[in-house]
Amino acid sequence: MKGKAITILLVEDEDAHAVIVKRNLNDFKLANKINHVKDGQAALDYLYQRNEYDDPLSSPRPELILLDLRLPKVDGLEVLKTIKTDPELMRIPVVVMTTSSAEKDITQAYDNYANSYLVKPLDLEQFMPMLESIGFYWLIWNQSPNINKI
Amino acid sequence: MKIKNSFYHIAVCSLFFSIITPAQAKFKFVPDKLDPISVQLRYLHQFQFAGFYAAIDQGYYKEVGLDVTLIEATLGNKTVDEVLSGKAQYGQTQSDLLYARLQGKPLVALAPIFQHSPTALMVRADSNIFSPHDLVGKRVMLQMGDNAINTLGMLYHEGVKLSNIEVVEQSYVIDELVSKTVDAMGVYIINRPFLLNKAGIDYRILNPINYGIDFYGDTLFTTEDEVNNHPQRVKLFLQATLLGWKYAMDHTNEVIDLIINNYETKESREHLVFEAEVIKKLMLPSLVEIGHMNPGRWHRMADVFVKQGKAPENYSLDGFIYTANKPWYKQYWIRSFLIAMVLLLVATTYFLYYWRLSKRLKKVIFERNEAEENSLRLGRILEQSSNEIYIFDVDTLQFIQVNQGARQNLGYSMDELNALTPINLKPSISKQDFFELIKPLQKGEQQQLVFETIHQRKNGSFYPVEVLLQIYNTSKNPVFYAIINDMTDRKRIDKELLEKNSELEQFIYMISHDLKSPLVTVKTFLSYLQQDIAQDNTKRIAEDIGFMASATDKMGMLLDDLLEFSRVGRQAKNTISISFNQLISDALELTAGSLSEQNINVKVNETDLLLSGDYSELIQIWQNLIENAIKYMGNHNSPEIEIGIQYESENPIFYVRDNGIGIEAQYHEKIFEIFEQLNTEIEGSGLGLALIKRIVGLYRGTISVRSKGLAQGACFLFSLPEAVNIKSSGEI
Repeated sequence: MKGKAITILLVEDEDAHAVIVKRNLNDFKLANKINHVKDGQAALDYLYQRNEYDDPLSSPRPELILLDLRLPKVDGLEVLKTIKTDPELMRIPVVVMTTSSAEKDITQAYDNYANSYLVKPLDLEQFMPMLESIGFYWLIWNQSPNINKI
Repeated sequence: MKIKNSFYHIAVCSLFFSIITPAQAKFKFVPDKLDPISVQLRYLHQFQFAGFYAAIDQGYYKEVGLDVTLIEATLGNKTVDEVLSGKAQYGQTQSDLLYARLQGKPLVALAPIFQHSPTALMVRADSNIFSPHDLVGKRVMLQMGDNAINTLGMLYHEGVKLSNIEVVEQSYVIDELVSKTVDAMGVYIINRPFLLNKAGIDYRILNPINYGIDFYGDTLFTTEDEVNNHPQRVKLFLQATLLGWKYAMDHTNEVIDLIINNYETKESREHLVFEAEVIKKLMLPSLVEIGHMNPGRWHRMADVFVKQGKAPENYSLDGFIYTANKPWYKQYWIRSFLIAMVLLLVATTYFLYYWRLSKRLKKVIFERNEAEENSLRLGRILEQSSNEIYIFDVDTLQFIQVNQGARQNLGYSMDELNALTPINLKPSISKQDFFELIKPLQKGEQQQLVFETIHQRKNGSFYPVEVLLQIYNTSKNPVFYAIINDMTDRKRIDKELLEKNSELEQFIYMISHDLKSPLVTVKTFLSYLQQDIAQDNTKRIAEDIGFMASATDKMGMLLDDLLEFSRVGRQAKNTISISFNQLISDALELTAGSLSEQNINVKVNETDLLLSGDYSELIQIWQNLIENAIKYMGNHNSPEIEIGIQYESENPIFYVRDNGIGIEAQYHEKIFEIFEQLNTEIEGSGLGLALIKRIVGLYRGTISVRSKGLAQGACFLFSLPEAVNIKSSGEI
């Protein structure tokens, strides 16, 4: 533990799914803050601290992005591309978490430098350990670069 | 075939005639020493013996070395006896010849001169005798001997007994009939009737022929000794005599002169002429070969003798009928049999031949007609086919024939094409490449060649083609022929198909995501629900149920919209005409609930434009747009929707405008994509606008949205060209 607040950006248009993620990660007390946005445009606004997300205190740069692919306005792939082509954002680990197991989606995600690709399981029995693993892996075991310094 | 046919003819006919033509030997030399022979006549010189006179006079006998003397009959001497005794070698007499033979006398019949007997009964025309039966109780002058045997045969055959007739000895004196001393008289019809005619008395003849007794008349005969000892003389004498008879029949007047001049006849010329006429009837020289002899008739004659007890029942005619010197094939029965067989063969052969020929001909003609018909039809079909068909020379490659379909598409005439080659039509293939291409065909390595290229029309435009090229080298002048399909339509369809396919892929992809997503929610919160119920966490229980309910709602809505979407354009159209005003009023009625709930003011710019199309499709456009406007109205103080038509160069453009939340410019196209939803706060499957776009597309229209941005309202504009073909009710 680095002794500092850890923020996760959750990009998820489905409220219910966001609740699942939040409940699990909170249960494990792995993150200090989970910021949830509901579409691709909002995700980009958050990352660039635009509009309602212009306060760095309430909208800090996240240590991890959980990104759904099917999103309104700007879809997940576009968000991913933007993140991974922006030198300021590209080091932030992006875990794609979606219902799609289509080969095309997986390929495109990795082609655009997604750090991981996960398919949402159909029931909680699997969803829980998966989210637990994500938390432990990315937030504890994984050594992240300093996202605030280039 | 013709040659064979005539060969048939000749072969058959020559065989036929070689058998039936009598060998008429022409003897052109006169031997030094003549062989003297005598012929016993059975009466005085008259036309009855014309054949002898003619043969003597024409020198027929002399030619065969014979010196013939004719001996007139003398009273009381029978002709057959004179010959039997050797006073004469030959004779001519009647049925007494057969009678003598049946008595065992060694006589031989050489040839019957008269085919029918001249012996008959004569009665006066004024008598009441009409048939043999009428003779009962009458006086009948008859020679009871062998000469009148046919007359007696007639009486016997008709059942008239001689005991019922008063028979008077034959005197040959016609006066007895004239004076009615006798009622009937046996006569020789050759001369007797003439005498009655002369006396001015009408007469009737009772002829045995009419009663089934048909005897040979005068017959040329000789003895068995003569036949055995002088066979050559018999043969020559017979031939010469028959020739004489033939001559006499052909030259009756000349022979009559001959009789009058050379033979001191007692008869007048008139009599002789009459005689000649009757004899002709008895001889039938034009129908029957003179001297023709049928063994069957001799037997039937013999039977008449037997019936009257004048001959033994077991009689024999062996050696009586002269055949000795006839070649085998001229013998009567063999000849008849052969003729019959030959005729049968000829007839059968002809029949079979012509039958088969005609059958074969019919078949050939039928097949040929059918084949011609078929090939003509094929030709017409190829010429008129919309497939392009080209025939061109294997060496020069110049077009020989190009069908109508190709000429029309290219815009060239046949004359113009005759000067061109396929290379001229194919701008993307060089001459060298083309020759390389057709090499395998020319070498016979490949049967056909299929390739795609581009054709250039006369007007310079292009069209994609698929070429099937083959070589036709079974004829004297081999040619290439190409069957070409214009691929313009297929390319377009291929493109459309590709588009449809990717649309379908997208569709399935979206569905799999959008259906799976609520399913994940339901299953996960079901597990939470179990935990929360166990822990009695009331707040969480309500939350869990809320998420599950909204997920299932979402699924239901998605399924409804999916069904709706798949139905568009697939259902059978029920085309109707409806005015714009009516359509809008119906759409507003369907959305009235939500409109009044949100207090939305609707403004309709009425117009009497008439629309035609499927009602459910048309109404769905406006219903969905109105519902869309309601959904995205936001919190507005005076919400308003405006519906109407504006015209762009006379084409009606429909619009639905609202003053709701508006749409940012970057999403103006995206919103019409399937499953696109900008605002997740608002319920919807993301199919509504995609559905409208689809319907508008069915009517060959387009749809777009205009909005100045968020909170600026939105205006949907669309055209429906195929629904507004009918301008307005006023103009119809």
